[in-house]
Amino acid sequence: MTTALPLATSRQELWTGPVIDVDVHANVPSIEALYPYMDGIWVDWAVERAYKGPSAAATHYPPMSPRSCRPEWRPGGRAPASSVELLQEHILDPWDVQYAILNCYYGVDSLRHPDWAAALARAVNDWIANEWLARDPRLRASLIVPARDPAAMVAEIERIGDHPGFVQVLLPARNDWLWGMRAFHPVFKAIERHDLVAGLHMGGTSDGAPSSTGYASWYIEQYAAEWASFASQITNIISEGVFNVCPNLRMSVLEGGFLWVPVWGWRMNKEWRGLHREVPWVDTPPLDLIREHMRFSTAPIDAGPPELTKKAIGWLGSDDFLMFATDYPHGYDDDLPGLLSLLSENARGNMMAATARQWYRL
Amino acid sequence: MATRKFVVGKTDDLREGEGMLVTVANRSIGIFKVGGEFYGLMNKCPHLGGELCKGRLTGALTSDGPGHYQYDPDTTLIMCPWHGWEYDVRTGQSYLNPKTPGARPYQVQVENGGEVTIEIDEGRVAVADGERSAMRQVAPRPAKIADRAPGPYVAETVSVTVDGDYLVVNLDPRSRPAAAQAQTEEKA
Repeated sequence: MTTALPLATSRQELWTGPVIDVDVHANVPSIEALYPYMDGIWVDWAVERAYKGPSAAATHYPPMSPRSCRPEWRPGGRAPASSVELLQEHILDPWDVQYAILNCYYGVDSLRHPDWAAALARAVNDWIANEWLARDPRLRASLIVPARDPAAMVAEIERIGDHPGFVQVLLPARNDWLWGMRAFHPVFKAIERHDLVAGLHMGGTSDGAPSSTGYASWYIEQYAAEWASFASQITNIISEGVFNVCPNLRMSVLEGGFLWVPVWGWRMNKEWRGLHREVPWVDTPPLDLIREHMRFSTAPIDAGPPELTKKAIGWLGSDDFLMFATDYPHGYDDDLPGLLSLLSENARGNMMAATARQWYRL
Repeated sequence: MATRKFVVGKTDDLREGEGMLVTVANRSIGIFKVGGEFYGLMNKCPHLGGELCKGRLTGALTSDGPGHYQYDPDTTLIMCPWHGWEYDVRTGQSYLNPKTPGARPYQVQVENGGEVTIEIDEGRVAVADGERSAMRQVAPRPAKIADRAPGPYVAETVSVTVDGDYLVVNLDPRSRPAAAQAQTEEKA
């Protein structure tokens, strides 16, 4: 819910309890900001080519789209969400958050040069650690990984995964191969071994078509249908037995919506009953696996009329399913008070902080 | 009182691991020979009513991880052709997976030839037409299916007896094998 705090409503009027925001963004302001965190060879690489940064980020978040940033959060002349001061001013202070999970989607997954992709991922992670985590104790972050190279992904998790500020590994919703495939099982094992969360988040390589049936014509199609990419990934992750290989794995689904989950889950449970001989290792109904291993961020909320939304939330079958997110600086005008009014008291407390605290070991 | 006993075929109509469909008192019933014994199941899947006994006799498949297949062909499972529910033809118990919550059987008996011959003569036993369906050979196997929990459904079993050379189905409810009892044991 990118919800700027409503102007007429104070944080305390909205929610008196603690708040943990599981999805705020950091934008790399320019490639130059990463130079201090790169070996000289890669600085030369960028300078010689006049390289300005990976292309994927702007594909997912067109810079001037109202979805990419609320107007009041655009700093004159600078990239939105590009410094810890901006985040403090816009979210951490007014929301009085206990913790916020910082996700930097920089689009490293769109690079094909294997060494450049790995170097850039290291640079972004070190930039996050030094420019953000070290400068506000309320921040925790996702580390990013070169998504085309499972071995390099594991290496980066091994390199920095034990840093106390990193609690999650960001996995873009779109990539060349579905995440559950066996080539990525060592990545999930590394995530589990370091007690991190796998964070499936909007974004990913811009090489492939955004839908399974080719290219759409407009951004609205890509953005509104992105839940289908999430559904494909989750279907694959379950079918490939990731949760058999990693029985303690926690996965967050960020900026992917959540009201499609029960309807997908009913279908998946039914197909699993009839087709389980294909995947005999899946010994638990898929929707039960979701409730055990996955939590979902609330922004953007795919909600309809309140009475229908309330019914659909009941279909989730759990009070421990949602985690509050502003998705700063993205702009949606989600109705947080409306969502809170539809939840039980227990579910409200879980959504605003308790679930995330347990999930991210905060 | 109408007879509840029907001759549905001869014992050598079925080889080991085969089944056949018979119609008795307007009911479609599958008769199977596994482990040298004869078993009967109503040809109706308790899930959504598919013709269960037209399914394949199949082996049990379990797994301890992605890419690991433990396939046991020596089981007595029949798979409903509609949605893949699997039932033990001996008990009617459905099986799904180890973590799936639990499922009911019809019994086939082999009767004494002298008795059923008299009953046929007296019109107390009807002779039914049998439609034999060749099925894959399955070897005899005792007791429960390893590593698999009983599913929620139990197919209705039919009492089949061998009377000399004859297979006799008995639809008298009192002759039904105790499926509910089997389920209770599973849950206990």
